[in-house]
Amino acid sequence: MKDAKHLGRRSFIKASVLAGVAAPAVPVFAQGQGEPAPRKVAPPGTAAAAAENGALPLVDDEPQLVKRPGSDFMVDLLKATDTRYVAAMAGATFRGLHESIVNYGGNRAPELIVCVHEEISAGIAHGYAKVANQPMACLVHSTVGLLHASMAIYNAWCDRAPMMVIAGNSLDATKRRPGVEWVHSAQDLGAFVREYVKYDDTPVSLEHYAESYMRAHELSMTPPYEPVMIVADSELQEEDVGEGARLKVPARAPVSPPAAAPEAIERAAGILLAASAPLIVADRAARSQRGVDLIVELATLLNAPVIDRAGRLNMPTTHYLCQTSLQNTLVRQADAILGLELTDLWGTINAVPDVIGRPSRRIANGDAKVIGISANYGYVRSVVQDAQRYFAADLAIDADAEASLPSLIAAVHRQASPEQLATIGARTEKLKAAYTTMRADDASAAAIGWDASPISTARLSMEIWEQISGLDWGLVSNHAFVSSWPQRLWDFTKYHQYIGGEGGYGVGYGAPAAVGAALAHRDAGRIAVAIQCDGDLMMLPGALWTAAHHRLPLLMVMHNNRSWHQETMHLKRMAGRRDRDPYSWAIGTMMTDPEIDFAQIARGMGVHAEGPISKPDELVGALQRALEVVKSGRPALLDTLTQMR
Amino acid sequence: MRIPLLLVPTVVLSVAIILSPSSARTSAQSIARLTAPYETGDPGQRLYVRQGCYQCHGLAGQGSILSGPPLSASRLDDTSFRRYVRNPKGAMPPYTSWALPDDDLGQIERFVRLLQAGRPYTAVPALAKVAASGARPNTANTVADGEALYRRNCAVCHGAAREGGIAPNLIKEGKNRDASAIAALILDPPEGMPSLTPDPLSKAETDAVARFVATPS
Repeated sequence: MKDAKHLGRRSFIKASVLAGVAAPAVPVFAQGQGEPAPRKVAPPGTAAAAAENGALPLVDDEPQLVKRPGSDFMVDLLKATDTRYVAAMAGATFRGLHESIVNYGGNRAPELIVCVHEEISAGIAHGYAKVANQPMACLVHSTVGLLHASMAIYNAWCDRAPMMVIAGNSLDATKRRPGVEWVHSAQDLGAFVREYVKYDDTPVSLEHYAESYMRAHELSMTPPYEPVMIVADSELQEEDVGEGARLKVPARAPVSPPAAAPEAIERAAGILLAASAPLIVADRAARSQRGVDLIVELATLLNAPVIDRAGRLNMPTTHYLCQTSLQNTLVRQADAILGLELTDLWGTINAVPDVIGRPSRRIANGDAKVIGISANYGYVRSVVQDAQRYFAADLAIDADAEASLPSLIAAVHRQASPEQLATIGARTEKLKAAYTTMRADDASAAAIGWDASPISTARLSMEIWEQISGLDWGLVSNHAFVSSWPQRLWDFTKYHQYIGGEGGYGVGYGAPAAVGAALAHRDAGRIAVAIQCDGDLMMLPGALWTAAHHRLPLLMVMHNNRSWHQETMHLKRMAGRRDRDPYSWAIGTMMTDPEIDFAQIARGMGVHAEGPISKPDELVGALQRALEVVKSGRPALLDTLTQMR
Repeated sequence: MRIPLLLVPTVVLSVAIILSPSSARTSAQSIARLTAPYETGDPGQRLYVRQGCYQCHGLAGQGSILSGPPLSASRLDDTSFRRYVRNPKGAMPPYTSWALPDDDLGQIERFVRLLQAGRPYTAVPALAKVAASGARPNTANTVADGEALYRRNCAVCHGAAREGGIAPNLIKEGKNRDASAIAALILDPPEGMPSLTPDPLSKAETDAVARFVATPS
């Protein structure tokens, strides 16, 4: 009978997990207790080397080599899932996989994307997935690396973005060297992030790893898309699987996204057709260009205006039914509201103003029928409160919106009477007039402060737009922080042109996500444009180095308002309500004294940079110079001093 | 003996400072360092910055859909302006006369009155292109036209959806007054409501706004 001491490494891991960590029959620690402590450390030398490593080898001995490391098989899995990139900052617990990616895999599909912080790795994977529409792998170093990455994983989870997190770890305690390797190991690594990944597993064999990896990949790409995590044990990575071992890469089995039940779709179509003022509100509804096309088709069929909550690009801003700027009026006027993959259905129908007591009130018409279609109905976690407030919709459908739209469109076609179609058609002129007026009003609002210095965010947005509108581009930053000017003024027509925001509103998403998105845009022959917040870049400026290192065509224009602006308002609000020091709001909320030189930071990372630019007239030239750099396949940053929002 | 004698007035002065409201403004000096990049030599502008008004309303009074309404187009009279600052609605904090003395408020108001409404968007080619997207149908004197005029001239106080704000909710105004009564009210506004005629609203435009407000939302 084998004892634990003589089990192979892989067998030991399996035995440990299946039976609990078994205590050795004779505790090693106890065996050494009777030995006297050395009086001093022995000096290095031949004898010491022999004591530590064994006798020096004879010249005709075979060197001990690992010819088929397990991590090569892990690379096979990455390739089998068409994983083009693995973002990583080097770490010892995945050294085997790191080496396999570079040498066995040839550092091509997957290629290592070199990062200087694990939060950057995960942020890059987040941004990449939303453009490429497939997950990128993010390789992290056990406890410390995963903790660094956890903020960005949380953002991606809230944002329903797919991501394959592969975490190195050393489960077999007897193989850990004393000291660092113990604190860089966890008995249950998944526990660190379990509340905000869809699935995690700690495989104890390569066969187990393969099946869990494929399951994780499937789950990540089944709506709601989410990050998943697989622990790649260091022993599994480094162990020789042996010449005769037969390891099989499981077949991929993409899961068809959940579509709505037919009876629910029929009811929804009936409600929408009976309405005189139907409204569509979409957040993360479109998962692809097909999703955008379907929303346009449904909206046009119903002549229903669309409020694009911009979790992704759902509706072309050039379409007369894209009326996001009119949302306050539209929600109040609508008698039927269709919510598609909304982050917050309750918050669409109701409001909680930030006043003392925080009273809530319904803003939608009291008689309005509300329909919710979302894959989130069946996916809620308890610890993290992203489910938002409970709302009893008239019709709640647990299904993926994009997958359900074809049947909803078909049902509307089927049910619509000639009279209803005539009524719907009669709404066109008024809706077009409202759209035209909305665009004019947005343009009018943008003109206020047009010549101001620091530069208004409207001017900044429009000067960028003037330079990129003739190119193949994608905006890879959250436009909400610049008063949504791009959404209000630019012509967004394609799904890939906008990817939404943080998801979890965790600061530090912007720069790495922009880099990841730029990677995917580069592969598609496009340039990426980010309006980059200053506070966000200060979190993870090292993302710039990755952009320079990998020659990514990313134009980053700073929204440098020299503050954590939201917090300035919160502090002012608190002091005002308490009738306290009216000048205290700036303490802890401003990034002045000294002012940060972002251009110098960028240049230090190998990125072309200019600035600070505070005069709007200087923007055009700087943008043109920066774009020339970007078109040549390198990143560029303009530090522009801006108004607050 | 000298030292205790010198201490007496110092202690008395310190007590007086502690009891004085202005002594709470310990950060006035430090904020000058923090906000210096945004300040001009104008005393009203400096107060506008240091009191944090620009954080929500912008240095040019342009406002933002995310923070606060534009001030450059404000037509509130002096009384309404001051009354609102002292006791605002919504998320804006109140400014007591302790936190913002009357003289300081007066300086801020003077600065706000000087803020430019901005050039017409039609004078900015990039913005003119945005506004020109889609052919504008002939909607003269229609409800839609009145709605556009409302949004430009009334929404800043009454809310974009007539839900109220600085000024009353108008969602059900049509039940209280017909269009002609609403037009009469615009032509002869009550205390606190700015005069909107003949500029920026002509008689025809006033009627269009009134018809829109009288229409159920």
